[in-house]
Amino acid sequence: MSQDAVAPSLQARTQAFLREFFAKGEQLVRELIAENDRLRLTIAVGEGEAGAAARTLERLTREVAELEAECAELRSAALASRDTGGGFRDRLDDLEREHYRLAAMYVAGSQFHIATTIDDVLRTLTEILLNFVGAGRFSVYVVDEERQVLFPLLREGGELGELDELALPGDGPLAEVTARGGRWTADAPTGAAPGVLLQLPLRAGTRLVGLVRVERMLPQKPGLDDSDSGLLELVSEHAGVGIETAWIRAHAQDVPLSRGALERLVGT
Amino acid sequence: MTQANENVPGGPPKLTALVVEDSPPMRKMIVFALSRVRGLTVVEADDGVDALRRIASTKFDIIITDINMPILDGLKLIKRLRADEAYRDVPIIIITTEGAEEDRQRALALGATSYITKPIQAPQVIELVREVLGLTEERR
Repeated sequence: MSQDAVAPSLQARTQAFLREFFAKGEQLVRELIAENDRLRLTIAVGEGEAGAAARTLERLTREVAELEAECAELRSAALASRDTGGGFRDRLDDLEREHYRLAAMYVAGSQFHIATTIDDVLRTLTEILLNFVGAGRFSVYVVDEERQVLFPLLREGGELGELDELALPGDGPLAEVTARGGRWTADAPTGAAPGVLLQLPLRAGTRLVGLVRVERMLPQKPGLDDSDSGLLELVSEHAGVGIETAWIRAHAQDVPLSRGALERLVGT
Repeated sequence: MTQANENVPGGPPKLTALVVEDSPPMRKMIVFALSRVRGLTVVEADDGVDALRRIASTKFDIIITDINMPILDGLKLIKRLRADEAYRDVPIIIITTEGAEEDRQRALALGATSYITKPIQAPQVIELVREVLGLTEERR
C-alpha cells in the first residue's frame, strides 16, 4: 500500500471524527439549554408556590393572633362572670347560714317558752347546747340563794358527782360572770379557768339564776364561733327565765283563772 | 297515697319525707332544713311508734330517723321498715352522735342508707337528702 492511498483515508476519518464531535457538542449544548430552561421554570414555579405559602402562612398567623385575642377576651369575660357568680353564690350561702341561725334561735326560744317544769328547761337547755352549739361536755349549775352557792344540777359528757359547788360571788372569771352578767370565754383577756371553755350566766332579768360551764366541744365542732353568739345570749336569758318561772310555778297556789282577778291585775 | 308522687312534667318532683325525732328542737331544725328542698313535703313523727302510724297512711319517699328514741327506737324502726315490701328500697337516713359508731354500724347493717351526725348543719342535711333522692341542686 502506498503513502498517498493512506493519507485520504486518515483525513476522511479525522473529518468524520470532528463532525461527530461537534454534532455531539451541539447536542449537549442543546440539552444543557433545555435543562437550564426546565430548571429555571421549576425555580420560577417554586418561587411562586413559596410566595403563596408565605402569604397563606401570614394570613393564618394573623387569624391565629386574632383568635388568640378573642380567646383572651372571652377568658377574661368568663373569669369576670365566674367571679360575679361566685360572689352571688357566696352571698346566698351566707344568707342560708343566717337563715339557719335565726331558725335555731327561734326554735330554741319557742322551746324555752313552752317549758313548764325545771326538767323541761334542762332538757331543752341540754338539746340546744349539745345539738345546736355542739358542746360535748358541759354542766349546769343553779343558785342556792340561801347558801349563796352555785350547785351542779346537770352534767352532760361527764360525771355530775365530780363537780363541786361554787361559792358566790367567786373570784376570777366566775366573779366577772356573776358580777357583770355577761359570758366569759377562754380567750378573754381577763383571768383563767382551767378546763373551762365558756361560762354563761343564766339570768332572769338582773337576777342570777344559774350558770352553764362548757368544758369541751364535740369533735366535729372545733370551737365556739361568732354564729353561736346569738344563740348563747338567748340561752342565757331564756333558760334563766325558764328556770325561775318553773320554780315559781312549782310553788304557786293553784288558783282558777277568773275575770275579776285578771282585771285587777291589768288595771281595768 | 298522698299527692306526694303526682309529679308535674317539667316541675319539681313531688316527694314526701318523714322526720322521726323525739327531741322537738332537733325535729324542728331538721324540718326547717328540709323545707329548703324544693318539691319536698315534710311530715314529723315524735318517735318510732308515731312513725309507724304515719307510714300506715302515707307512702314516704325518704325517712330521716333518730336512733335513740323511747318505746320503738330507730334500729327497730329500720328493721320493721325493711321487712315491709313497700319500704324495702326507700332511703333511710339515720341521725347519730359522733361517738355512736356501734349504733351507726348496726343501723347500716339493718339497711339504713346513710347517716348524719349531730350537731346537724342544715346545708349538710339538704345536700345529703338531695343526693339520696337524686335531686339536682335548686334553691327556693
